[in-house]
Amino acid sequence: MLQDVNPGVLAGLAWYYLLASALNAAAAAHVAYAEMVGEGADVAGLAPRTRRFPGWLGPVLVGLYGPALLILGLRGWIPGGTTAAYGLAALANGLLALTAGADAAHFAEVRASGGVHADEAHPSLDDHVPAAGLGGPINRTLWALVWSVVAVVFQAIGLTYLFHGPLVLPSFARAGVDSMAGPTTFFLGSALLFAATLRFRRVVANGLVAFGVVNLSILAFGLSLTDGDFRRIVSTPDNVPIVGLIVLAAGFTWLALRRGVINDARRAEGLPVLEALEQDRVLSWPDLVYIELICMVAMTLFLIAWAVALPAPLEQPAKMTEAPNPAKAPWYFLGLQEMLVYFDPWLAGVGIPVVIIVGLCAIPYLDVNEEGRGYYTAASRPFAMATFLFGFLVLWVVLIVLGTFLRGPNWNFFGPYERWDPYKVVPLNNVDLSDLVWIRALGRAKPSWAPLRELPGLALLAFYLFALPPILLRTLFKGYAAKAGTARAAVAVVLLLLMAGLPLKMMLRWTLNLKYVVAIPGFNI
Amino acid sequence: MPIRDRIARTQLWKSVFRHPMPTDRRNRVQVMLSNFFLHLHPVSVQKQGIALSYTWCMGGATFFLFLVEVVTGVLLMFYYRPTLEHAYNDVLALRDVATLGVLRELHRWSAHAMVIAVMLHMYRVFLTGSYKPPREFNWVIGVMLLVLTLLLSFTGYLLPWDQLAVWAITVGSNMARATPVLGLEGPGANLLTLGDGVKLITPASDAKYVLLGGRSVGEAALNRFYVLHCVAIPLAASLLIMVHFWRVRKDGGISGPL
Repeated sequence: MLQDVNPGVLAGLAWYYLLASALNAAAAAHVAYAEMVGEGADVAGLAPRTRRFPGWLGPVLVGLYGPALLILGLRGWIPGGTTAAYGLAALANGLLALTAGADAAHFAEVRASGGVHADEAHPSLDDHVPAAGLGGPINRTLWALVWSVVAVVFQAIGLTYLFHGPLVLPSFARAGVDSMAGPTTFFLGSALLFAATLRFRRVVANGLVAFGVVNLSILAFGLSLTDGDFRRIVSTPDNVPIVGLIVLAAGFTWLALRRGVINDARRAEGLPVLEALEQDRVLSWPDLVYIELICMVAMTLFLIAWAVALPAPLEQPAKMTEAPNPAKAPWYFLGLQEMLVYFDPWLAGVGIPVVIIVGLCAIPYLDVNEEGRGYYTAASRPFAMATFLFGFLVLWVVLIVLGTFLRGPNWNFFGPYERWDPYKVVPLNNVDLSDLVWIRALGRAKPSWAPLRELPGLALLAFYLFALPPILLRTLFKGYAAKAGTARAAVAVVLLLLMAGLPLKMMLRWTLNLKYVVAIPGFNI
Repeated sequence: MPIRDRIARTQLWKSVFRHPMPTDRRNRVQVMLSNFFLHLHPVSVQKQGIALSYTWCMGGATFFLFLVEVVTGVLLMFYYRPTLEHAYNDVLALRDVATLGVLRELHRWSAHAMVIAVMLHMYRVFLTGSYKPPREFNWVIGVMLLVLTLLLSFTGYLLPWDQLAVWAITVGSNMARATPVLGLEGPGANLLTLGDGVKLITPASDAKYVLLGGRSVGEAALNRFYVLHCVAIPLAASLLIMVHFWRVRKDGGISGPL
């Protein structure tokens, strides 16, 4: 598959792994040297300065990264400048990783002799970690070593690419992924991953676990980039923001879960939440105004870099007689376009968006839980969290990703490494509920009078929308109905059932090949 | 006397800023009260409320991106003509020959970033339970602003008038045809029929026609989307943004634990 990677791609991958290596070297240094203050340890007096960043390392790093950037900027005038810059930066990465690893190893000896470790008056951060609810104390020595080794490995991979080493994703791996991938496995896999993340959030919230996942993702993405088809779809200019959305949504979800886990553990012990530790008020000038200013400058730089690096798409002039295949809506509507597979346009394009907007507006009036205002938490509002996160992450983001990256010509599903073949044939043998009931179950012809023919579907729908809510209000949502009042609870349950209708219909399609529950032309559901 | 103080004593400076540099407490309060742009903020804030780990800065980022869109959008309007004859060529020229054609890239990427930022802002507000009383209605205004942001991006998508634009809008606007009762192919399209079979919902009067100003994406649609994109929706969004910010203050500032 070497025809997939040209010298430009190899160079790009080399820099990709250089950055991955720098990230891991920084992580090793962070574990080895940094005083962690993120969890409020500083406010609680739990974050002493345990290890010192070696004084010589800073100037050396500046002396290596600085010229590297300089040479990179002037590469047009310096022959071989890019390679030289790469070498300098790689050297800096390796130096940082090895120093951090060595220092952490040295710290293990100090610790074994009882030197710097905590005492009653000055507990160390490692003692703060279990108190924060994140499991046992971490072994800093071990983890600093792990990340420094990973940094060196990534740097080695990067150097391999720099010298045009043919390191590509093996074809059996691509074939395996493509053969397993499908709308069913992708959606169900994402939903299961979501449920597991929420359920095992205490494990996920651990920074080391999370960083391990980040490293695996970096490796998987890097290897995938060696595939031409994957690269084509990911680097389409309008798709780049979605890659950003995935990273940001995952990152912020992790941050929120982590703070939620810590806050929940603190509340269980009767401690104030992190957000309540800092009671001080500060003047907006300078504290707030400067944050805003710095954010604006940073974003301006980021936007200018993005605009210069990536040209906005401009295709052939519009031709109303020549439809592209696939014709896709703007990316933020692709979740809805994906719903067209399962619903008719009047539901996917009008009904579902209206319900989403109404449902979002209704949230503050339906959530009567007074807990969890003004701080991150998961345990004190489990149902609200699970519902909203499922809606946003799975039904919105995951379906956008599916619609953008994995739906090709004729809206057929294509694996991440599969060529978009416009002639791909996918057998369609979907049946209506009326077929299943009258022909398969009862073994007779379908009645010709539509209301009778669709009676099973109409009855099912009526049960789902009119009989199920009262039942749920008396059973599963009894406590909620008592607290919120019947009217409020009824609205909440109906909205919830409408939301659940999406994955339910999808599952009926996958299991029974069900096309329509009610098949009355113009009113298909 | 240092030059800075000298400047601060000139009539020009005083006429603009009304008070000395905000270097001491008194003047730091003054600056927030007397400056039009700063008076959006309270004089003092909860320290934890403005922490980046709490707010993710996504609301502010959304507003900043909106401002970037306004500035770059106005500049692009000097160049771009929304007609079938010129639209595509103007965008082509922005790419190939126009000085500062990179403004189009800035505009487009900031638009994508704004959609992402507004989603993440809503996500954060949910995760911190900040929509709970007394901030319920500001959440509703926020939902409206989310919808307006999507519509802004959607209407702008058509303007380059290339294959990508026209067919994305075709896919999107085909949905309008399926609107219940008001769309030609929606359920209940025949409900609006006058006694002797005069249909009110026809290909020239249904919801899609209203959206596009024609039966398909054409010159009228381009004009309609241009006006919506450059005038109508930005005005509506500006109004709601003002209400949104005002209510953040009136509802007690950035949320925090009780």
